[in-house]
Amino acid sequence: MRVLFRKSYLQDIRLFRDGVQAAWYGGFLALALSAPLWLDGYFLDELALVYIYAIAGLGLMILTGFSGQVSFGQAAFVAIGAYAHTILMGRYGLPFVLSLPATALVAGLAGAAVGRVCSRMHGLYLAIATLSVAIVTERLLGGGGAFTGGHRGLPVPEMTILGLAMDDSWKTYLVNLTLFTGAILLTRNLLRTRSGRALIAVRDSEVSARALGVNVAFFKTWAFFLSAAFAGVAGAMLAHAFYYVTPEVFGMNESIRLLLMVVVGGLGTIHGAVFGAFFIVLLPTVLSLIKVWLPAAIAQSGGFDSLIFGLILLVFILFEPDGLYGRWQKVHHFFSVFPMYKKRGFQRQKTFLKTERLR
Amino acid sequence: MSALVVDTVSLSFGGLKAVDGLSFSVEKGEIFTIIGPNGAGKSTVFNLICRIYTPSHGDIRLDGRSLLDAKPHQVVQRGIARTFQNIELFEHASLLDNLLIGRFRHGRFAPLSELLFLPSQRRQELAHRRRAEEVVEFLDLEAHRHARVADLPYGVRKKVELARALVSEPKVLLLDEPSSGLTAEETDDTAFAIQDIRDNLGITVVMIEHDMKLVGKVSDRVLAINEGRFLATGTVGEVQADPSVQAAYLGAAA
Repeated sequence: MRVLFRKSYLQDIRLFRDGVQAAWYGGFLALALSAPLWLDGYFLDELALVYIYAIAGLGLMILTGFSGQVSFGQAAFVAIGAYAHTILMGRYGLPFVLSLPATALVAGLAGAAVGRVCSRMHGLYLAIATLSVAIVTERLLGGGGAFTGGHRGLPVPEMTILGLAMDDSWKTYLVNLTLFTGAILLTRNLLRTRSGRALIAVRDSEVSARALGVNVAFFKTWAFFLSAAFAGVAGAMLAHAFYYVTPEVFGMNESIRLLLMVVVGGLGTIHGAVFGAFFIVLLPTVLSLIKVWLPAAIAQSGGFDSLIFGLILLVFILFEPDGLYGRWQKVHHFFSVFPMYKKRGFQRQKTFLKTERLR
Repeated sequence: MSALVVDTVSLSFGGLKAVDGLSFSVEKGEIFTIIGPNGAGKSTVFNLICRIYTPSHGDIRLDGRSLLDAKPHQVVQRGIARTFQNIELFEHASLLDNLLIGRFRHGRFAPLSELLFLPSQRRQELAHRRRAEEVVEFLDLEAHRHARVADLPYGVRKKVELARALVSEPKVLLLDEPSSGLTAEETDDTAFAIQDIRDNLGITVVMIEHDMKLVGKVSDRVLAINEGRFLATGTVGEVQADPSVQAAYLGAAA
């Protein structure tokens, strides 16, 4: 077990706690950068998809995990991102490097508009409102006529960055890895500064956030903006990965999948979004590998994937509400203090006197 | 000179008059306590000052300027910080993060510089951290600095709430039952802390308190209210001897 000896305030402000942690993450980055050398095309594309989903997941983590607003509408912003990017590039001929930030802005503003309207809603009402945003967006894109290509969708133009055609798996992989790393850095920076803390304040107690000067409605809207901007970028990259955008891809199911991703990964942590992305992208692949060993009657039945997905979710909500990352922390703690691990160490004290809360 | 003036303030919830033509003023550098039986409207007075409620009549002034044009989140900007009767901390954040949120009013919304963590942000973070650390030392919270607030014992959490109000560097501090739920020693600590806050930091303290021992030890003046109306004001002895106060607590003599 390492004990951290703090000698300066900067130690808590820096990105990494100490050299050991920095080395670990440096190692992961090196591994990710070198993946094209030792992974073949299919798995490389899968991994790139993990990064894309992780970007959308980080956005949802900002909204749900940090500012405490449940959203069933994240897929709507992914869809807006995918369409905005496709239309900006295909119809208006914007280059990729300009189109991507513009897409983030368009999706972010759409998110901010939804956030402003929803800033007085909590819990179930917010869930229903955002769910309706997802449904309405899907319908609007389907009925958008020639502008959105209707239900037939739109072909996505080739990705070219500053004249370089991104026509190989490893090239798009590296683009996605860069965006993913950037998204993590932005989220980390947000969390160690004033606005990030304001979001956490809004999540934990709106009344005292307000008493300390936090404009609650504004920061809720800001969380929606950031979340939707992240989702927009993820949508743009998803469009490139699929070569074709249709409204069905970004339906309600996708929203629910995204929310499950952050819940299974672990709400309120950056790691959670990444773990969750691995989970939802790789699970279908793992399932298809397992199916080979199962009797045909089970493997070929329609709802098999959904069943496993649902079961895993149920198990997490019942036994590990902290998600994959929470479980990892416990396992890590078990070995670092072995043989002194106590289960009680992770049990939280019950909070009393929560009855007379003001909103 | 009066720091905080509550001028004939009234507030009704439907037919219930929670506060009824109440007036009082708190001098600068004073420790001023509001007492009264349950349901007397003490917390409502705090919520009025913090703009959670808007008075139906009357005015509240801080340093001569009306507070009524401030939104709830702008009250701290005017220099009023408060604690809550039932602790309202950010449970899932560390003690230090709680204090850093307390520094909120001393910053500006600068989205790009925050997302990119420019050097100016680093400097600000260090400065906020230094201020937070002063309060940590002032209230002897060093041992719990990095603990999650949800894991701390009740007495410490009560202190954290006080610390969080202090880091915002208020002119007037509103304490809603600072000793409720505390042990005898913790209450003594709180009494010392309140005196230090006034003597060393020069902050005007307005508190609601039931523990008359604590009230007697720290308050300069006491205001007694009942059913939202003024009963008596003066030193602890004067107020306790007032027949209307005794009647409010014990019932009128037959």
